[in-house]
Amino acid sequence: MAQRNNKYDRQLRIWGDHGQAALEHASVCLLNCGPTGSEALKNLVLGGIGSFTIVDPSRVEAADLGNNFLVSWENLGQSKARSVCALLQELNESVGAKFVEESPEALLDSNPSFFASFTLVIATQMPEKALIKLDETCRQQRVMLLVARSYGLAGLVRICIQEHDVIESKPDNPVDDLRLHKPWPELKRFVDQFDIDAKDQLEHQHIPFAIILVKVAEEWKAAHGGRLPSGSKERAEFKAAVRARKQSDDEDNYKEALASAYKVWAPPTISSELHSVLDDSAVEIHSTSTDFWILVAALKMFMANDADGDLPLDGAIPDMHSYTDYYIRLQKVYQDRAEANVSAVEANVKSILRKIARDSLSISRSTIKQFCKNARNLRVLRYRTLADEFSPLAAFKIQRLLAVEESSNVEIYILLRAVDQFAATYNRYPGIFDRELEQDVLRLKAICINLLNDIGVNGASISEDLISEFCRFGAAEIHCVASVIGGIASQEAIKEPSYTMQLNRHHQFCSCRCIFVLIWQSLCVSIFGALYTNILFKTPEVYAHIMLEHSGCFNVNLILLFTYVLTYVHPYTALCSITGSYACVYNIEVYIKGGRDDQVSTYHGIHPIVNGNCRFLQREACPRKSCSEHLVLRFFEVYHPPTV
Amino acid sequence: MEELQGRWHDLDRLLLRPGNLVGPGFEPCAELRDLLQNDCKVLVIGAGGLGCELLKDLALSGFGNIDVIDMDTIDVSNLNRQFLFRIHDVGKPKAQVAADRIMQRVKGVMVTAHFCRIEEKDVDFYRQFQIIMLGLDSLEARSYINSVVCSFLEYEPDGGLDYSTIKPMVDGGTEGFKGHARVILPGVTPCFQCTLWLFPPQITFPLCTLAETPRSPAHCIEYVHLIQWGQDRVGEKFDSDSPEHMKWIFEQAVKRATQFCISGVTYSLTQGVVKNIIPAIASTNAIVSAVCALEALKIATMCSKGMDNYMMYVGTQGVYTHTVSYEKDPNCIMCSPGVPIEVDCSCTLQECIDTLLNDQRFKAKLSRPSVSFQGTNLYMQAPPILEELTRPNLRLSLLSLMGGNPSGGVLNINDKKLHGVLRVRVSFSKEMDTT
Ligand SMILES: [Zn+2]
Repeated sequence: MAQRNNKYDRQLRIWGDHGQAALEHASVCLLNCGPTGSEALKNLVLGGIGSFTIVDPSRVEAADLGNNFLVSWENLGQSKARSVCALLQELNESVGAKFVEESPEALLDSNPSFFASFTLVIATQMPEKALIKLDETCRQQRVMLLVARSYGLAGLVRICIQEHDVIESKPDNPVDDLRLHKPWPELKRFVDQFDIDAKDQLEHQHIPFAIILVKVAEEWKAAHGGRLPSGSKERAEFKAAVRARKQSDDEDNYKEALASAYKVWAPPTISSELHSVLDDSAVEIHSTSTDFWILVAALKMFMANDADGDLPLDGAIPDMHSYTDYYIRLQKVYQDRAEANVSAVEANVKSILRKIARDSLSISRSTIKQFCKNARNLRVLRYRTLADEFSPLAAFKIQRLLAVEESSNVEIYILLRAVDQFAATYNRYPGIFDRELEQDVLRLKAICINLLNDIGVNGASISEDLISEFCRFGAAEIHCVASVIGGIASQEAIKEPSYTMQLNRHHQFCSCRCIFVLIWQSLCVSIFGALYTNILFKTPEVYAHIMLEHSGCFNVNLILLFTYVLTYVHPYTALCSITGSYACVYNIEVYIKGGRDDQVSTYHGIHPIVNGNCRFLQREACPRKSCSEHLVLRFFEVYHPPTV
Repeated sequence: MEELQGRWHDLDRLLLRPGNLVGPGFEPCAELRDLLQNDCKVLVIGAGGLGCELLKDLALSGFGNIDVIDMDTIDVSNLNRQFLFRIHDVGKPKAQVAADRIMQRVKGVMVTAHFCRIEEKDVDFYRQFQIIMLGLDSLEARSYINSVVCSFLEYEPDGGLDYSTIKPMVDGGTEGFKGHARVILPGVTPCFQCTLWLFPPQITFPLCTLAETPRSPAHCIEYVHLIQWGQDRVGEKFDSDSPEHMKWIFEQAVKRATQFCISGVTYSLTQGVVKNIIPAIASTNAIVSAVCALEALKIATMCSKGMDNYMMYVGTQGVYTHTVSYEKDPNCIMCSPGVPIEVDCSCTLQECIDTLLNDQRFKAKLSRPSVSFQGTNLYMQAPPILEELTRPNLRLSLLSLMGGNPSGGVLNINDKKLHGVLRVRVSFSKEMDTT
């Protein structure tokens, strides 16, 4: 046990013991063990999944020794599945390893129930036709399917799963839920014990900022008919009221109070994503409802009946300059409230369980607690089927994307499908034979046109350069590309059994100059998401229309700052070239000039800029429902370094 | 060694076929494989999570001549991602074990291991490589390599860069589900010094909080680590790799936390705080390393267009990547043709040296600078005979020493504190001194 903990120390720090336990229960089925599949599995075996089964009928050939690290020269001519299985087993002896020397397509035909026993199936380098069937089979058997494909310098990762519920989404920058605007009786009583005008200088500078802000806010409310400050003038007045209580300029608690003053009038809101979870039809509980939806229903009851629309308090408070004793007591007030909220939700859970004649203790308090703690970041992802995606339903978005200049990611998506159709027609991939290269370019082009016609996209064309590039690839599986694609697939796989982090979402975008990533949550709504940042980051005509709320300082510099951040830096990037010291909460809407109404994306979060460092905290997800998604990567067509 | 027919079948698609989306000067030919196999020497710095992946990726991209340098030995906690190591390797040098495993699996590749600190190798060691791959976890190590690589740069008198002096670096980094890959062509794309702001500042706690008003488990641990150790275990050097030392810190931190009614001090947290542990998983290392190695392949063969110049990968919520073309700092003290300084026309060489020593930008980088101009030594601190010979120059006017050109020029500064040459672009202020 001690050695296990040491071995997994660096990952336990991310997903904890319960995440690791889930991983250790996962059984993974890999279809085809070329480099893409072998690399995906390698990362999972290192992380300590329970067991894996490799399905691959082929033998180790010379080419495998040039692109797959999990075969060895001694295995030349032997079963590839056996070789990869043995070398993977070496990496982690606690993982169960099996292999089946059969073709995945044949297995799918002869024994579809084979897949039912797995947590996860990773299908690599499989053609479209087989994938559609596999998707159907896995959905029926409630097995998650990950599709990974490396093709020359391009690749694709796709998730196929009915529904993925995210409890612990582990946001990069959690928000503080302090309820300064709405203190509950116990907090009020606690705050009342303090005299923020204490004569004792040490005492004065060791009162936690939350207490100062609750006091000043209560005084403000008393003087303004119960209202909180609104508008920039009142907010400035509120800050002045805080400032007036300072006894000297170097009181750290007052610096913190001023920096956090906005939390009084801008408490964290309920995100549109969470709203859509709460409003989901699955929240109508019936006898087959899952625990997740029972918890959501209990949460919804809590918010409506017990909490005036608020979420359960998570009980965590940030560090505050303070005496130890004051801080610890304050922490206790928050923790007690959080526990009380958990109890209220627990009571709802029990009553729901009783109503549907299930054991009222079947959902443990620790589960409920975990759920309440993370309630703010609950997410539900649903993925459309491959069959739907490949139907004409998708035409509209594809059409629109192809009409835009920066659309080559869609072209890659089309080409990845076109090569499969090529193979179905000619019984081989394009560019396999040098002598037919030129001919294949024409053939592939014809297939692209047909494909676009079939899905109802008219008048669009695929770049000739890309078509010949795909023929140049000749279905090559380049090790580095396989390692990226396999790596992403394994990252997604880890997020699923550990039930914590969010899987691929539609709000991931194309990068511009190196790797193009495109995730299609659903072809109907979110290809746009991908496209749109591409435009945002590249086209000068795009401008940001920014609405700042709660900032108290709506000025040109801020607008420039946000424009800069939105234009050049991604939300997750640290940006340090701007000095100044203010903090604000913002809502930003970005419109694309000439764009349609739905080409709007909302950002909100807290934006501290301290000592020249600033960091975007959160990019809120779009309020659109999700069905399926795609990730397309490409590793070419970028820029010219000087000849070295 | 006789090459196995068809082994590089997949890679050959890129190397032997022309394309429309390739790098400048790309010539598809079989010699590219020889170039990778024999002529292109690559250095991998670090044989940890990224390093193991990089070695594998490079070997399977056709690179036949790889060196790897790492000062660490293998620890149990490496095994969840550093896939070249086994439990029975614990305690052995990472570089050596990694090199052996790669050579064992991938026939025909020569991996040379260096079990030492990067500072132990001189500038000429680094000069022999065509590409340097960085799989490091610290800013200090990156800065060191950066200064070495930037010192290779040579500029024409007109400020034009001699492209043959560029030593490309490819850098990777990960933290949990996030990572980055970047291509540094010193003098062309920003070096580490140009973009220092990309590195997040270290979190430190105020000492008075630790000593007087601890509020979190981390405060208690840092108190024991930074203050109590020195008081209770006088003269003993704290070693974070010693289990006994770590256990002592943990136990004392628990006592302190109990005393202040703070809960949550665990052994794992103690290690995390004291060693500043960054969470790491196999998949992220695999992704970032493969992106880096692919860039190395492109730099070496031009078989496809390269990355410009910084890619971030964020896997925490979904998958997000973004590539930014960061810009160079035109006045960078490492990679620019010369850091601008302005001196008076009447300034002597000695006064110029004093100006440099007082300049904030060179703080802690200069102690006893030697100065040369266009290959001529103006002042040398050593050896004594050269010092004596050049000493009279100190009192001469810098303007005349620099050929009397009132528009100035670039001085090369050497100092034992520098890893390479510092280029300073001197301009003379307009007003003539009337004395
Ligand atoms: Zn620089």
